[in-house]
Amino acid sequence: MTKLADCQVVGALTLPEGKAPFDRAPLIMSSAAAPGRVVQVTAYLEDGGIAGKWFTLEDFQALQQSGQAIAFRESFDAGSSAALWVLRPNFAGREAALAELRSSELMLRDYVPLADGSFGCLVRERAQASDLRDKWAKEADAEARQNARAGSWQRAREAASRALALERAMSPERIAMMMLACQSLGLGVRAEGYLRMARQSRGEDFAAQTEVALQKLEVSVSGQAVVPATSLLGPRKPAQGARQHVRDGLGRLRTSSP
Amino acid sequence: MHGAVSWSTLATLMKRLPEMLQPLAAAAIAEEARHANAWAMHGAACAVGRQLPLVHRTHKPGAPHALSELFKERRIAAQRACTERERRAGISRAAYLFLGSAAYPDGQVAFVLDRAALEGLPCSYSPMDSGALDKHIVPADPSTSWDDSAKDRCFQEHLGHGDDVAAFAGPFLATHFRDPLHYVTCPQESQPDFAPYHGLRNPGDDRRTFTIEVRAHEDVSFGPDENHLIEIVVSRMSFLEELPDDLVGKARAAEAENEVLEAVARGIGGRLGAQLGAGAA
Repeated sequence: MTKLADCQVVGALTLPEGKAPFDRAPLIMSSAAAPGRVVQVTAYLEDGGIAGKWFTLEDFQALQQSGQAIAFRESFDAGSSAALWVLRPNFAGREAALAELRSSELMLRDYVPLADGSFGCLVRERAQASDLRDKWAKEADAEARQNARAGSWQRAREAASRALALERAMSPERIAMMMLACQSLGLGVRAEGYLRMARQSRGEDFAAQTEVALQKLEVSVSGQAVVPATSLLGPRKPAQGARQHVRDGLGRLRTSSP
Repeated sequence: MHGAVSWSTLATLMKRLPEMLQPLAAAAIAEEARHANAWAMHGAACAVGRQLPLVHRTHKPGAPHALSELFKERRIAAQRACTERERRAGISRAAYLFLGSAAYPDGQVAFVLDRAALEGLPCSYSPMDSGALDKHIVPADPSTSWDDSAKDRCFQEHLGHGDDVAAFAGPFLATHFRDPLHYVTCPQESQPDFAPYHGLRNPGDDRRTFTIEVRAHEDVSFGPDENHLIEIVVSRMSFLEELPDDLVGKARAAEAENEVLEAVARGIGGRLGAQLGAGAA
């Protein structure tokens, strides 16, 4: 077993320069017990050990060369449940986000400045961290909707991108917001691409839910009567009969819209 | 002539299908249960084998190409062959792909390509990861010699002509799996139902021991309008922003972060199920 106490954080599986405002990356650690190799941590075990995927230093270098991983200039003490949260320069309000992280005491150490100007934050991913990430996602989504209502589509897209990257699980509503922003910016191919991606990734029911979310969003953003949210959207996870449920909802949405 | 490939050397070494199938048949005959399975599963396995796509996972030691360049150029560059062993066999350049699985364990993005992407390209294949012969794969029988010349011999004995890979895949699957689809869905650390016929094993049960590697000896293009590109599997949602507009619709995001192999398997398994189901109907 690899003991976390023997490990040092040496890098992470994130792009050195990424377009998404946020990324959550698994850490790469070296262990005193395994010279010449590093491990991509996939799980922290209750007994103080870690599970992960081992590779050689040569493979780690290759990942860096192909732009898929970063190495820190210095190594850091590891901590349980830790991952790297990357706040890119295009993360609007990232100073405030960083301040929240700092005051939460979730960070293992102060942020690491990355080559592209990102804040690399080694975060203990406890429930409080998930709450914080969910809160940021919700705020970004609200900001996207607000900008959409104001017709500021570029800002809406930026905020939608942030919400999408922050979301811990794929959500029809976040994809719908991204689609609407892209569509409104004349990026029809990209907008349709997100729907196809949703279908491929999570299936037909999920894609249907995304279409419903898009229609609701269009109504909401255009300032027309918003259809009550209580019954139209089915559960997020595709369930038996969910597709029909969504179709029924679509029908009701169409007939109730002015 | 095929660019920098020492084509004459490679062409001499590559075996055609009947020769590649001989040891497979011998292994089946030697073991009753395997033989019965190969007989019973032949049709189903050949149907699966014919449909298996190619998977390239973006990571290769020494690769100068960043992910962003790959998205821009829309081709997987054949680069200097990874091992001296390949170079001795006349392979100077190769783009590495696995048939039907993202068996290479590193890389945050995987490209799933139709086999038509290889049409007209000089290609070869092996029923294992050729690079792993150096590091991760050893003979199941520890008394077998495993020096450099033994590895060379092993590589060349299992070096097939790229045109035959789909025809080889069917009998290969039938000889190793009770359910041919298990070849697609089995995890990184796993074993086939019947021991690999080539007599090699990996101490950590890495599936690269029994996953068919295909090497294209020239660049592999996504094709006009990217019609050879079936899917781009990304390890997490943040990668979607890196994709050009017209490639977003080709993306599949892994269900759990960083589970690229599993997401690729889910996609291939789903499509195969639909194709074979429709065929049966």
